[in-house]
Amino acid sequence: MMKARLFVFVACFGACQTAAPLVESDHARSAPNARSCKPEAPIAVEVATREVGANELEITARVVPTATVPSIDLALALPAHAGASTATEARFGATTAGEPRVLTARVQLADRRSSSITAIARVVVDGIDMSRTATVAVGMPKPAPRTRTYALPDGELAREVRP
Amino acid sequence: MTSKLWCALACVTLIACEDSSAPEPGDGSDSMDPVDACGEVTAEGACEGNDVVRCVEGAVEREPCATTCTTDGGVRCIGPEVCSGVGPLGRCDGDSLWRCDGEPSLVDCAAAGQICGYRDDVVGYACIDPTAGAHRVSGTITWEDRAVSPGALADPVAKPARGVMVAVVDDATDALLVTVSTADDGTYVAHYAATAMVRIATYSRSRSEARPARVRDTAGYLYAVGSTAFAAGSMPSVDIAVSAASTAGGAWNSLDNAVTAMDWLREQGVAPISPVYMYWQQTTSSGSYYQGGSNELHLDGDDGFDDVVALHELGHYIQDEYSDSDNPGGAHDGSPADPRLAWGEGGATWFAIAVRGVPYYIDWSTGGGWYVELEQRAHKASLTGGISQNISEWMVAEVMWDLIDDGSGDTDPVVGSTAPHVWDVLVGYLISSSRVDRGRAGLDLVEFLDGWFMHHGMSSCAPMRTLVLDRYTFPYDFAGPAGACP
Repeated sequence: MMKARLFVFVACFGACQTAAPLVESDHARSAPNARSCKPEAPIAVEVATREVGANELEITARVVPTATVPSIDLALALPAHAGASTATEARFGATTAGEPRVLTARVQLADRRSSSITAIARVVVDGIDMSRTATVAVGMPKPAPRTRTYALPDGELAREVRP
Repeated sequence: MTSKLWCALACVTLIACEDSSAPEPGDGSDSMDPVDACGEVTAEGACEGNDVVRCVEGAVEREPCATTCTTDGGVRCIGPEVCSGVGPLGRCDGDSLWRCDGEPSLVDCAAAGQICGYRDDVVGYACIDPTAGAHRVSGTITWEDRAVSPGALADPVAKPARGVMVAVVDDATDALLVTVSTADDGTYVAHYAATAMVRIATYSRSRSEARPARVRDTAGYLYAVGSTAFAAGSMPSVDIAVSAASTAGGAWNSLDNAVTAMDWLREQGVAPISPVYMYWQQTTSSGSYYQGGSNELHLDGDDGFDDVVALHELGHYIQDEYSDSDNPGGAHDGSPADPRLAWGEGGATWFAIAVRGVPYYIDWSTGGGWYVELEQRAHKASLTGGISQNISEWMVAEVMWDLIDDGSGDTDPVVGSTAPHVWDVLVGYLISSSRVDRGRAGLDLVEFLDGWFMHHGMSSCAPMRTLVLDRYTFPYDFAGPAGACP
């Protein structure tokens, strides 16, 4: 009974709070990994958000190639309930390794539902169109699933999701 | 009515038997009575060794089975086709036991006063004592796949969870009361003893020694999905579906790729299979890589449904455990690189496309990701660069694919060889003490080509010359330890 009351309280708090930030995590980065074994686009992508008004965000996507590339296409993938008042894609010409390129956009969200914004960078390497993305969560954080953690008989740990 | 008819038939038989003397030659009598010709063979039939025998229109018909004759579910031949939903630990269908670890077999456990149930993780499903567990629960575990293709991730489709761990769990204490494995059609059967509330849980782990794989989150926990709790014995059937959208969806896909890879290894005759510990979590962005030594395979958060990426990393696991690689590691993008890296990465990609039978490297992400077609394209080397030159990992994968891609769309001159021919080299010459280090110091494409001729002789010199020299302009000298090509 006590558990049920506590759960109701937490759920209500999560659903009713209005002071939640528009941005769940304001920054995300993806870059070639020194130990990575999968082939990857030679470019680092970083996306950051900044709240600039009611339900309005400034999105900054910054890319830095790790090898000289003939061009970079940079675009923002927005959720369906978002609109932009500035360009959300840009094409940059030949860029040397280490040279940053930046795209800044203003985005309006219809509401604060949980969603994400992804920066997508595309470069051509030896005739192959490769891409890398970085995704930042926006809106209300998704409620964490109910889980139980426990050890199996052989010591292996499990985190169980319940319906 | 039925008994009267039986009586009439019996009388006919009796009369026929009374007139059983052999006909005199030329007396014009008919041949032997057809009912008598069948003897004890019935229309339903029986198994005689590996033959189905049955009475058809008064004559005995015999059908030799290519694999196995069974009486369970009617007398019939069963072959390898029935094994697609069974797997290495067998399957229970009611109290009928399917096994496919040798010739396919179907055993009626009830005929011997037993029941079909799970014995242990070595034997799997077997005919067991009917006193095992007071309660029986069965069901099907499914997960939702999202198939990758160039630039696209398909809508979720439910698939059976092959060989995954299922447990009956005490709902109050989380103690595992009994643990079983799903068959390859996702079904499971568990017998358990309990009096309190229990639930069914499925885990991102395979129990079979043939498929020693598990998937953990980045904190080291197995993914588990549980049912609602129920009073012990009150639920004879419990199904669990893992949705693609859940935080566990990618874990089940990753595990299924490991099962595919390990089944492929067993088809090549590999035993025992080494364990692999996979790590995946939806929100991570730490790259996808394999760590030899600990057999840890890490998948990026957006690679949960990237089958080719997962199989590529499993290719590194196979190099680590069964073949060889001198891959120096580090970031790479497919452009010409250290030939040791090109061998390690290209070899891993070859494994991925060979298992799938589709010559595309695909790395899906938001916006469609990217892909490389590896059959029509040729990432050529420099004819004047020597055999130690930097080469593309794509070229390595393309050459190896061309060795096994007989069939429609094949445009290269090498025919008649298959994946086992490549495998022979990977687990033969490449790890043998007789391997001669040529080209760049360390293992690279040159040693693989040397090994090709060591294993398969010089009869493929002409098509290999066309493939390697003409198509890929790689200046291999065709003068390895197996001898010089004419």
